Amino acid sequence: MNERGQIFTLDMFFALTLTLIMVSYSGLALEQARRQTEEYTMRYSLERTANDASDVLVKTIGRPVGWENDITTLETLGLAEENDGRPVPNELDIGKLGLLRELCRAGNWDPSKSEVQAVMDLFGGSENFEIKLIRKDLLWRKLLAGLDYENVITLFGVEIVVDAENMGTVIDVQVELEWDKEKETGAERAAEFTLVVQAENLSVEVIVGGGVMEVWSKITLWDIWPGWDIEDSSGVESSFEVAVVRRSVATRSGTIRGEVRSLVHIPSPSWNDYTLNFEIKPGELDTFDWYILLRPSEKSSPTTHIWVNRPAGGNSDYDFPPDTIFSPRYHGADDPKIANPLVEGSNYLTIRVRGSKWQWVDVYIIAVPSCTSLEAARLAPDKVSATLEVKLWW
Amino acid sequence: MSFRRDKKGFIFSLDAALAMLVMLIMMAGVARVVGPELTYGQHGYLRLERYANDTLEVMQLLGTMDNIVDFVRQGENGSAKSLARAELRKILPEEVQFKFVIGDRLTVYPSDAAGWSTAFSNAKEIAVATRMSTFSENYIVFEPITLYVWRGSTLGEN
Repeated sequence: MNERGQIFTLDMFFALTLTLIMVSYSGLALEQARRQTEEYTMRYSLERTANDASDVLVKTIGRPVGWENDITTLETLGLAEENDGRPVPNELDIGKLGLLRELCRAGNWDPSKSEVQAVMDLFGGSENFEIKLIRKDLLWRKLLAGLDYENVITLFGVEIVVDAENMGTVIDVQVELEWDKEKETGAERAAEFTLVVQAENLSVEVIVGGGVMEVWSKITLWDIWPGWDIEDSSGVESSFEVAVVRRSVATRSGTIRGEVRSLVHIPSPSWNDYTLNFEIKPGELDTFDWYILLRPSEKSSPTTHIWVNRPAGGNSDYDFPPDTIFSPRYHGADDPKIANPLVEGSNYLTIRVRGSKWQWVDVYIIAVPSCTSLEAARLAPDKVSATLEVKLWW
Repeated sequence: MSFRRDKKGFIFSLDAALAMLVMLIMMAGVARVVGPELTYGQHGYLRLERYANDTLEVMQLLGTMDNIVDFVRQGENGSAKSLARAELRKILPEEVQFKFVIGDRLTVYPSDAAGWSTAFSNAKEIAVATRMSTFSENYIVFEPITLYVWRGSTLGEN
């Protein structure tokens, strides 16, 4: 009998199978762990970059101080307002945001430029970012008991009509938004609901419930990404990994470049007129739209006459009443009605006020990023709360 | 049953069972070591914290905080509550709820619904931001202004 050979029992076979299963599962587990670590690192890095970038944007004035006077000197982007060389945290300088918007125009966005590189560095060297400034406001709040309500308001060029009625067991709400010959409507009839109607960059949300109806508006004041002027979208919707960070800020919808307050009628014979001087830096004539905004004490007085870049005499360029806002330069073009257009460098207004001594007028020079709604200029003197939304993706 | 009579079969002892259990726990542990919840855990709380701090900062910048404190000083707590509620709802995202407290003088939730105190107690993660303000009675009193924020759905009013 030949005693040489191998014994391969069923026990051994099972032992081997078990070992193989264990080894392969260990390998799979390790591979999964490696993949997850990699994903975690990427996600962590994305989140971290977005969080840090948003923090730098809202808390710092950027480097060097005064980069907004010459954007080619930009080393680190920061959008906070400046006060004596120090940042005012969470107060956004809309002028700086306007400059960033200009830099992000397709024609200006060239990664070989140092200022573009500085912006990209803030986002981890990536061009895949989007910055939005959103303003949310409560328009109306009404009790549901006996509700029979209709109201109309125009916000940033969009007419909002809300019609609501308590039908007993249900609330009937209809919303109509109208802008540039376009119309969007929404309706709902239930005891409790949320109705959202969207028009371009403005959305209206009606919340019915708990005995009240609230109408909220949400408007995107600015939406900036590299090439925003030629692309419909930043491309964020086609990415799987997106980090979104929202920061609350106080801001204005435009920058005040000059102001004189409480101007009253100075009686003759001196005929004293007021002068408001302001500067327009190189390149700003086309980067911004320029407005003159009046805030009079009464609806149609005091009478105010304004001459642009010339002393008082002859027909004035602008008169109040009826208008309280004038645009000497809009969308890169001068107002053809004025004799002396705005220029880069020193400019001035001559202002004559006529009325009683209890009537006054405040005059502002407002700059808003070019082609902006008139409403942004009208609201510019008021500080409002807004949300700065930073999106970053791979 | 005797192993002597029937020598075929498997021995699966308690030791082996425990060993396998340990192996399975280790494998599951390795697989879960860096799940997505870890990323949220780190950044989700950071965001809540920033919501709280940013909100108080913005209220200060807009002058709303001074107005609320003035109302409380004058004993007009109803006006202080309405103003604080409207402003906080404007500033904070919809999914973030709040409790705004000035010492023991004023407490504001997003609505007058009864369940807010319970919702606050049951919140898993709460971020806090605080500022100080002064109130003069017979003497100057320092009162903390505290904002608690958490993620949750809103409650309707009664």
